Amino acid sequence: MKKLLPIIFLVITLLASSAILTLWIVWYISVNNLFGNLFEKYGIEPSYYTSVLWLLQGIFLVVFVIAGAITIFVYWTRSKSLDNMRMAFISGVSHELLTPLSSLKLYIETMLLRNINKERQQEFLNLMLEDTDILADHISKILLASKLERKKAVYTFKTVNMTDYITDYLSSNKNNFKKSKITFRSNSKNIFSKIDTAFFNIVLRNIIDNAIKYGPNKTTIKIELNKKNNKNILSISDNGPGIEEKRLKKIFSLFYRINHNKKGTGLGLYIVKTLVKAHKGNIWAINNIDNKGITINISLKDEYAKDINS
Amino acid sequence: MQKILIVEDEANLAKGLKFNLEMENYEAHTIDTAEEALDIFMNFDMMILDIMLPKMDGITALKEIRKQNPKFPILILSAKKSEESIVSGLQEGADDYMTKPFSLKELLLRINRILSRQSWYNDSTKKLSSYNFSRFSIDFEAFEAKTARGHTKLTQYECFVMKYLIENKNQIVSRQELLENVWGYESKEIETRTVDIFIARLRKLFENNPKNPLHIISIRGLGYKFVD
Repeated sequence: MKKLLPIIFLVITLLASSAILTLWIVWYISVNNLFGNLFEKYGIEPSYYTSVLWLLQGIFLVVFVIAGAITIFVYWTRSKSLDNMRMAFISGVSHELLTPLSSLKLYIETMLLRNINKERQQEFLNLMLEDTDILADHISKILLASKLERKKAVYTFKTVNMTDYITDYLSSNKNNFKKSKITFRSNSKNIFSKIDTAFFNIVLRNIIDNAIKYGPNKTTIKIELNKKNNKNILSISDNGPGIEEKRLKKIFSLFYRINHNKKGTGLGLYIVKTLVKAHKGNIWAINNIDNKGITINISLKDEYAKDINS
Repeated sequence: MQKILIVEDEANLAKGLKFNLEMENYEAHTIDTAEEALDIFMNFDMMILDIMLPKMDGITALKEIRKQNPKFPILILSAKKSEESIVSGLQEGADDYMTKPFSLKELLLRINRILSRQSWYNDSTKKLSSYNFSRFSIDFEAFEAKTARGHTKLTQYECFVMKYLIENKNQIVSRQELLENVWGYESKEIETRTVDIFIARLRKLFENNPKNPLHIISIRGLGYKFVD
């Protein structure tokens, strides 16, 4: 019932305003007739101009009230929807943070409670380190998303050989992507774009992490870099479950989650899109033709034509 | 040796739980999906079930398991501290819950108690194997009852609680007493809403109007009382 209250108020406001409008017009007509007869009786020239002005003024004011009410309602609806998303976000984030925290606590309590041999201790300490890394990771994501939302990120763009950059990135991050098989192909050795490598690393990391998270065990990820006309297109395909057509655009929205039961913060792809846009690029997702997984495409402006030392 | 199934998809947590249970002389096996849990749970003496699992979630699995075996002991783990998810888990038939992050000692205590409750119950059932009141009846041996929803199977703890209340009928039983005697928790430190949620669950089964109970009555500030 509480949910319907704003709608009920809107309807009442609209009905009341319409009633005022109707009464105003009716009043105008009857007064007009009354004065008309009066003026006729005394031979006075009626001033239509002033009286029509009164009518229009009244109509304008009421229409303004109606428009105001509808506008406020629209804003309220949007705000409520954002609020719901924030609640979902907080719930998702708490889970993401509580889980590695529980694991940490469990191992600490285990080591306090029991006598454990050196070898086991090492094993446990390494797992605990993993958990702190996971926690740090999530917290960085949250802070980055907040920074990006408030438009406070500072970029340093450099023209970079994209083929080399991606090859280097994949080889130095092999350990992070152990749960997948990643292949990279490009149609030219000389593909240049202007990027902020630190931030672009985040773009790649988030897209690949997503593919691994939602994909099968040992996800296969195909990365392709192609120069087409004066654009460089980076395509990252996975062999996961794919996404419904109507949702493909929404996945880049802040807090958007495909399934609210699944883990995750809903921040990863929002961060990716914001960063790509900051690079003056474009990003879009499509379902793969053979129905296995999706491909995220990023297009960046080609810089080869310009001086590569700038 | 008692066998415990751990259904948890966070690898580190699952590993830690398995290690600790084995140190307590249980046999522990870990799996990471609800689907697999449905296939193999019957080979174990109890299950620790995380609610947030990939694909099929814990609550759905819980419902399925309860359809097949209302007695099977299940303790749910949840990172969601929201009351709704805890209530939902208990309403669907979990015997107890713990929220993450949890205290290891408390978890081990609860597991121990859940497994030892069965022998207490079997002994006490020999003295009172069934009971009738108004249009309801409970068969403590078969874990079945004639309830407001017709003939249904009861979970282990639903039987335990009813039995205790009936054995102490017309006397006030405090929440603490129920926690100690039915769940076996001695410590006052264990904070739990389990008892209240169970009473709510039982009222839906054994009252014509759960909001106005005639059999399972609350005595404000003191506890509950069973009346014929």
